[in-house]
Amino acid sequence: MMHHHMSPIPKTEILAFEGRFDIHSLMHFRSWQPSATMPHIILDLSRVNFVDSAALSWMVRLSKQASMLNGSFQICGLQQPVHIILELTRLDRVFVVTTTIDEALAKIAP
Amino acid sequence: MSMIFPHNPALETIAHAWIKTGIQAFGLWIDDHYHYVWPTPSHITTVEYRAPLIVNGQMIGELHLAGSHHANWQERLNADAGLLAAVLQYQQTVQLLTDELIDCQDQLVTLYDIWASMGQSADLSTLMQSLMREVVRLTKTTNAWISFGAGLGFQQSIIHGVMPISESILRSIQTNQLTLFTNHDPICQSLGVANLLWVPITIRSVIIAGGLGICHQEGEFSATDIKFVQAICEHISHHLEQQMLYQESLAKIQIEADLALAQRVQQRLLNTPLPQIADIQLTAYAKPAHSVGGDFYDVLQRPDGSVAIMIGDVVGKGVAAALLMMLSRTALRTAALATHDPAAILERTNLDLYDDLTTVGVFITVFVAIYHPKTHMLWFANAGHSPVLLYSNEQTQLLEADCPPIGVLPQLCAGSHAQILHPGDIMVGATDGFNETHNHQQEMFGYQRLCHLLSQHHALPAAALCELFFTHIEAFADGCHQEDDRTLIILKATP
Repeated sequence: MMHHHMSPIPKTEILAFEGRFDIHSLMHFRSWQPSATMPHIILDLSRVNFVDSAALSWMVRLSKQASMLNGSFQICGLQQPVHIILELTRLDRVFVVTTTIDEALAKIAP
Repeated sequence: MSMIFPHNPALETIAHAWIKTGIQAFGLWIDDHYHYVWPTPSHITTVEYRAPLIVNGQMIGELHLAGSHHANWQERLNADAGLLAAVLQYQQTVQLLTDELIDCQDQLVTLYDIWASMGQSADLSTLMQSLMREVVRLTKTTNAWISFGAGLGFQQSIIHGVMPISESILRSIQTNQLTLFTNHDPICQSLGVANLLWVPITIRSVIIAGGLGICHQEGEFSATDIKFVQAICEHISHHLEQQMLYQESLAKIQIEADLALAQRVQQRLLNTPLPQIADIQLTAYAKPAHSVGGDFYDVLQRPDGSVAIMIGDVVGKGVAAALLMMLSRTALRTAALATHDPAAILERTNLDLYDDLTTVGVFITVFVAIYHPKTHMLWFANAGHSPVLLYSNEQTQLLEADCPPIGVLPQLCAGSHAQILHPGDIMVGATDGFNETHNHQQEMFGYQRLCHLLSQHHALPAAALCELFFTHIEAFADGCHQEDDRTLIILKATP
């Protein structure tokens, strides 16, 4: 399940997932992409206990799209199983990973 | 009306009853002359009593009495005239009903013929033309047409009749409901017709396929006409639906045939016999989740005598993943023949595929190993792929990736690592379809079980070990649907 959160800073979209973040939970918004007016994305995974390759692929695509819009893509609040998956695929080197949303927001705010 | 009287027993009975009362003559007066006079032969010169015959509100004639007087005879004659008029009215109604029944039978026979001929007619346009012809004939109208909307993927009107129906007129009357326009409606006035009937043709209760409109220059449509046109429209609807089902079945068969071919091509690529290498057991097996999958493995002998062993996973499933898998396998093969460094193979493949993978929005995890039989050296590089297990020195470890998958970054920064394979050492390359397999309790198989399985059964030959992995994973899943492809490649240094 995905939720949109109000961001305290402009041009920033905060998305939060729960439980398994996989091909099934992506079903309804696979084609979602960042807009030029909201190029910064923060993905809150603090309530996610598993990500599959489809979710990883979606994150990589979002990261590339945000970069093309001169924005940013950050993931925060990783649980250990998710962290392991990111480490094993070495995607932890690709994404900016923070502990909290506030930390992620601080990186965007000038 | 006069044609009814020669055989009308009611009139004769009434006439004979009057003659028995002693009157001089009884006559039926229609259109200024006597049609019948009783007794025959006789004439009526002076009419004593007369009573009008009124049928359907119209006076059609008179009953006349001559030659006698009686106080109640005028009332009696009026009553007889009323009775006779009622009988005539019933006879007329019966005649009309009989005519309608015959028309109805005609229409039923036509409907049956249409239904029977629909299956034989391949040309939709010809079939609709003949339908319009029948509609015009049986509803005694001047025009009939069907207009097909965009719902069927084509737009055309088939018209039968003399009156040209313009596109704008068609658009103005097309609705989703049966509509009968009369001479009070502007559309009928502009066309100079008394009536216009519009019946929609629906397919699968939703799509408006077209409509069938008929014009009547004079008179009115009967309820039977409207029912007949509705029945024709329902036939057309069924026929079009059958055609659509047929087309869909054909398309499905085509897709299935294409998929079967793709599956054969993929299986043939994956099932190419693995090379025989001294002191090494090599085995591999792939079980896609769908008819085609995104996992792949490849083994090829390089010109310097070394062997390249590759296993990969294209994110995604089905045909799209299978197409990318073929592309990736070819790119990796080309790179593996050009260079002996696993990291360089990954870098080159990333360079070749990065733009395409970015466009599609996917990535590929790949593990590449180059084994040198003379030195027993295994060089490997891992681009985001897991799990890869290595059993050596009585321990099983995961060979973790040191760079992200192919297609994520323009530059991979992959690194190669070396490991001497001693007799009994085993390298197992699997795809995430193994560790992510879950059971009914939503418990995942995970990396630990894989490592444990290898440690426990390291003594088995490579082929038996491969079979054991698949058997264990399926036992763990316990009938749960296989969601992802499962691929395994095992290299074992012969003890």
